[in-house]
Amino acid sequence: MTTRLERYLTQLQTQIARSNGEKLQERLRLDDTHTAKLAADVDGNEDHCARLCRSKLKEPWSELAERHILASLAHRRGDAVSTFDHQLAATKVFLRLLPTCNRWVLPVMYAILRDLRKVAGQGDAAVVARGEKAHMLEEAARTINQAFSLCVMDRTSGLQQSRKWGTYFVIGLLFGTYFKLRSQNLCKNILRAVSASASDLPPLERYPKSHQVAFRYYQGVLAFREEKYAKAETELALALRHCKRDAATHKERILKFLIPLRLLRGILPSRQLLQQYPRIAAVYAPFIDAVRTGNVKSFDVAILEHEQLLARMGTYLTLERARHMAVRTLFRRTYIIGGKDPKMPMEKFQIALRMAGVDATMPEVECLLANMIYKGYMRGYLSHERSYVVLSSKGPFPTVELAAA
Amino acid sequence: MASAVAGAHQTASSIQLKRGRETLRRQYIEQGLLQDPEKRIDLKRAIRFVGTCQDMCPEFEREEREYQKSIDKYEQLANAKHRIDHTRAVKTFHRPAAGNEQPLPCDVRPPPVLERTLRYLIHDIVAVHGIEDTHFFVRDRMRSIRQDYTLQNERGPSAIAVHEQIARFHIACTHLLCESSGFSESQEMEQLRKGTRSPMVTRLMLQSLQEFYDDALIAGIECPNEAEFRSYYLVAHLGDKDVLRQAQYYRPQVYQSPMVQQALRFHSLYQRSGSFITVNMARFFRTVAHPATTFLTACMLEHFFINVRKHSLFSLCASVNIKQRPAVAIPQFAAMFGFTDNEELLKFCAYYGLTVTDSKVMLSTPQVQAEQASRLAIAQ
Repeated sequence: MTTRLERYLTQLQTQIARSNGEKLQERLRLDDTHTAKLAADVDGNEDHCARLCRSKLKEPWSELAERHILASLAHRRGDAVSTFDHQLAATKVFLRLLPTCNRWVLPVMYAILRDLRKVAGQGDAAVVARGEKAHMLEEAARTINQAFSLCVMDRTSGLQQSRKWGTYFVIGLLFGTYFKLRSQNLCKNILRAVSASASDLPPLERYPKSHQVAFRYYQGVLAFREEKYAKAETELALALRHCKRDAATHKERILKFLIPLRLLRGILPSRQLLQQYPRIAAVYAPFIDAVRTGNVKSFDVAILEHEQLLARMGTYLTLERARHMAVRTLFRRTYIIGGKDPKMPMEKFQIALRMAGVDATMPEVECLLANMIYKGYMRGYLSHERSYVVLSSKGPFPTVELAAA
Repeated sequence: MASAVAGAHQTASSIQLKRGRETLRRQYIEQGLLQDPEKRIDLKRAIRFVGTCQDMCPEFEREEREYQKSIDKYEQLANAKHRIDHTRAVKTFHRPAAGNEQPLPCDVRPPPVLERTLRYLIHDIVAVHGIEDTHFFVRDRMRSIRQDYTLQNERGPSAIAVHEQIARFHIACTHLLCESSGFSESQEMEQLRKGTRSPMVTRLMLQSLQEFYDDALIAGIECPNEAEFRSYYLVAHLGDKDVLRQAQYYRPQVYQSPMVQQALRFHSLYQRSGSFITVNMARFFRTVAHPATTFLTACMLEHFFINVRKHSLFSLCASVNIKQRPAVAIPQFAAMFGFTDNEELLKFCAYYGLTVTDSKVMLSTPQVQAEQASRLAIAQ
């Protein structure tokens, strides 16, 4: 009756001895099939199980195995809270042995940390449903942070075998957790630590693509939040390019930020792209159309209508700024319809705005035009006394890339 | 000679009290009302500090201040300047610092007394003697009220109501006092040069209120003025995207409230990226004048006027043809730049080196650039 458990422990023993991280991690995951088989053997026999672990494996592997088994059992029972407790204990044991291992153990670390974060989320959901305060994800974040330090500060093994290869995976997991906790400001400390040891780390390009993409994505989103739009666009564009072809959900998450960023510079996504991502299209299409046609009114209506949704997505503030791109199109069209006359009465722009549903007094129109010229979206000058705009003969509406410089 | 005798009497009483303090402290510790600073204790078992002082000013401080001759004119006895009026003395603010002795329960006023003290300051001091003469006194004593709440870790309805009133007072002060003698000319110029933010005190107070509301929400207490003060907080932080992001998590009744919505309108009118501010000045001032902007909101916005005008002036001067010697007639300039006072307008023009001739303001660039250059030099 104990054979299955024994066989399982033997397998662990073998893979540890072989330093086979890939094989070992399969057996330390919560969702693997082995847990189902073990359940029948271990349930109600916890003491025996612990003894067996200790006899088969060396400390602290034996403790890790024991904690893992307990976590798996709780997981199968659907007891989210004690799953988290056991998984946290397992992770802490693992972090104790991490400094004694090198690169081979990284897949195991990935599996354990990934599970930890997952069950922390489930555990928090369970306690919140009971009316208690969520705390597990925060605890998980702290633990993942320790793993980060142990990776980035590996000084014992040579670069080829270094735990430094785990750095960006852990960052991806950690940032995701921080985002969920709405503690994005904590990401800064990590980024500081990374850039401090940048010279010791292998270049980002040499890490697995998936690690690169996650890291670039989070860096892009953080830059987006700080309104460092140029950096945000670079990082997100790279993330999109390296993203796995069929990873539609990931691409969607990237586009969620990339489209407003480009819209801000007047770059519109193609129709084919939007067709591929109907959910993105549903949110952004009204804005894209408004910028394309200069329909300021429909832009304003759309922003009111989607306010809550955009706020939840975190792109409301940026998208709101894209409004001036719609105004720019409106003014450009006014100029074209006016026969491209370089001398445009300001009143014409006022009428155009009114037709687009924006009621503006003349001083307001003047301020608006001044801002457009000041920011380089229009070329020319205002003649306040005669109340008209003199537009430049060459390119009164420079392409937006030029304007942004 | 008579005052020397009185002085001797005071010294004696003050020294007696001082000696009594140590005994008093030990008694409090024995009774379990005060933490023994020598002993280590688990945070969970820490004693909750409860004030017992029933006067606006604790007895010990009254004696001490009389001895030190630091009595404000609103606390003096009518017929003896060096004697404290025990019924009118109000506890002063002491910066918490190392070396200051630990306050005793008898030095700290419980919430009902704090409420009474605030009522006294507003109705018997400000309302009677006017805001200009009293505001240094009142501001200090209000600060001490807030400190007593902090010492007792009181964050409930009483703390909220008192902080709200104090915040309203400060906001009104920023406007009402900006033209008074207390705020000197040079200070005004200083503000003109730096471009201002709303005063630190107001910001900090609004910050504490935000935390109180968050706590109240968790405790399931509804605060009737939450929307009002959330909106001030928003307006105090125009151009700060983090604050705007926080607003998205306000509960719907607060978020949808007219005052918060109006504050959000100002946020979308005043956009900042780095040190670059984009604002449609004419629209901004029209919105300030709109009935949906309350008096106190406008008071808070006043601090942004300088920045709004400055950046709009840059944008205006950069978008005209200087060679044509462009000019704007004063009434239009006033309308655009939101001036209601001609003198203020002329001061503004003089500061930026804009010449005013034939009731017109001549737009020019160099002085504006010089101003920017000097700002950069200061920053470096």
